[in-house]
Amino acid sequence: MQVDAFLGLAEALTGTPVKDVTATDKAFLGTILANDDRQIDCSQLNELLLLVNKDRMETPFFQRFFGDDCRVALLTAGVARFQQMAMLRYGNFIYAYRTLARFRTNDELKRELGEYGRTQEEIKEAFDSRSAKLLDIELIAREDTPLVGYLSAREIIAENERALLLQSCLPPAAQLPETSWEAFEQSVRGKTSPGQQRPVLGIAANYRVRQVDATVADFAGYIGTVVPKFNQRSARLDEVQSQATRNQDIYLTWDHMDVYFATSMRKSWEFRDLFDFVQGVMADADLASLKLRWFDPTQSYTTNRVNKGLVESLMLKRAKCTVYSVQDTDTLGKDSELAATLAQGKPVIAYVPQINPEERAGVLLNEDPVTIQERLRFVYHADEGFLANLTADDQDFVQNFQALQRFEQQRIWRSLPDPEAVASLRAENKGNLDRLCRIIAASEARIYDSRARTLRDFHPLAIQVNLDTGVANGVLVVRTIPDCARLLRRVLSGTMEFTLERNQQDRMWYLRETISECVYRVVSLDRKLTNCFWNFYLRQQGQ
Amino acid sequence: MDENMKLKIKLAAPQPNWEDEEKATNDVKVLREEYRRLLYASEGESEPKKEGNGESPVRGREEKR
Repeated sequence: MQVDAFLGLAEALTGTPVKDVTATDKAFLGTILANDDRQIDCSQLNELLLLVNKDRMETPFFQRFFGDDCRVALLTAGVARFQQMAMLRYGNFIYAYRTLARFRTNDELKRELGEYGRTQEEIKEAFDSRSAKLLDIELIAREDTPLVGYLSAREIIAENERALLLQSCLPPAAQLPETSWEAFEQSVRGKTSPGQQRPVLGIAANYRVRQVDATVADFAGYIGTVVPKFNQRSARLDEVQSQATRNQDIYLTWDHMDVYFATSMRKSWEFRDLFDFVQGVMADADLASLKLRWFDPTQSYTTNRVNKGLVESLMLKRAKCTVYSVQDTDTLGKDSELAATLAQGKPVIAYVPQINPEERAGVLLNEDPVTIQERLRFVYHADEGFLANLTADDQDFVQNFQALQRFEQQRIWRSLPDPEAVASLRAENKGNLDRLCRIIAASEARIYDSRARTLRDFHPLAIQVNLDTGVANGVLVVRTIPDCARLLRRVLSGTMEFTLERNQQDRMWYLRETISECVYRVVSLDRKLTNCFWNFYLRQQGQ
Repeated sequence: MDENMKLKIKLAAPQPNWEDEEKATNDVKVLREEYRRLLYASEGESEPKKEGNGESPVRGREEKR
């Protein structure tokens, strides 16, 4: 090893530059370090450190980071192991070395390192020795998950009541044949408050668009078939919400909580997407053996918004790791929640789907037409390059293809599916729907790629300082479900792997996680900033 | 009007209804009562009257509950 290399190691180890090393000191160093195979023990390393005017270390420190068979050539790796630990536990090198190097027993050192001092065997043993669950949640089926959402419930309630009102405005059966639409609408207006006349009359109007020559009697028959369906939907809504409320109680009482899945969900597909994601991650072979417990928001319900917030905060506090599924809604609130989670100091994994446009177009094609229209609306607003990335032909096509917009405007009910109308639309517009879905899928790919890049490289909230410890914590971005599962396993089993990088341009040390390639910890090379920061942070802790 | 504006107008979301608004509570019973009050024209007429069209669907449903 070269002398300058050792001086660099001493600086990396202690966090401060090496000073006042004389030519004589360097000559001594040159002699000792010439043989890379030479064994170095704790005392010998201490002599080298004192030679370059640095503090010595106690034996437990040496054993943990350099091991029993340390040689000159292995000093670099030992220092890197220390730096990794220092960044994980303390977010700095100076304080880390001064604190850890002085412990005289392995137990003291291990205690100080806390969770970072646990071995993989100890962590595995903790999982293996867990009791089985006394209570488990009752899984709500994928297609029912939107019913735990507030929007779906309100849609069912509103449309159910509108259907009942319309039915109550119909004349007795004997008078139906001679009742005109005008008379019927007059009756509806008389009974409906002015603010609700538009959506109520819209139902009859859209029915008449669908059934061009229908009479009021025909509408009466139709409403007669719809009301029982709403009764069934209402009953199903009640069942699912009761089940989800019981599930929430079970989540609250579990003695362990390992993973909190977080996202914002409003539209039906967002519930189904998150259900698929959670099931996909937790079914992975990497995780199945760990007896994990996780909070799945598609399985939980509370009527009260404040309680909902409290539950989420509790899960966030208890869970060892939070996984954010980055959905469409790129809101300030969502990013703020992610930042607040990072500031707690726990690992946060952000899953940003990697879209294969070909496959995605196929999936979109099978969605409800209104969902496709909403996806188009979303990508138009979220993709800055949406129009610019279309050919002139495609731009023309998107602007003039009206079928989905018409379908959305003319559907009779939002909360009741209409398979006939959907089949008819698909049959009449197959080629156009295919073309539109490809355009949407390509745009989604751009949006999510951009989102991942932003989170990974320059989002101002993607690295947050833990307000208690001062340690900066970075979000870990993954693009696939297998990567998410692999990373989650490493997080929970204490086997995360990192690369250590000294970036001269940014003047930072970066500790990068290897699956996500994201910055997980940082140490600034700005001496004044680092010194002031830790002076005040450590003083706050009573140091 | 430029092409971008045309598309923006075309893709404008439909006019929101009561169900699109966030509510202070998400209790189904409370929401149902709230919406009934909003839906029907005059105060006190919060439930549809029997119109000689068979049993009132609302009363029938409530009895089932």
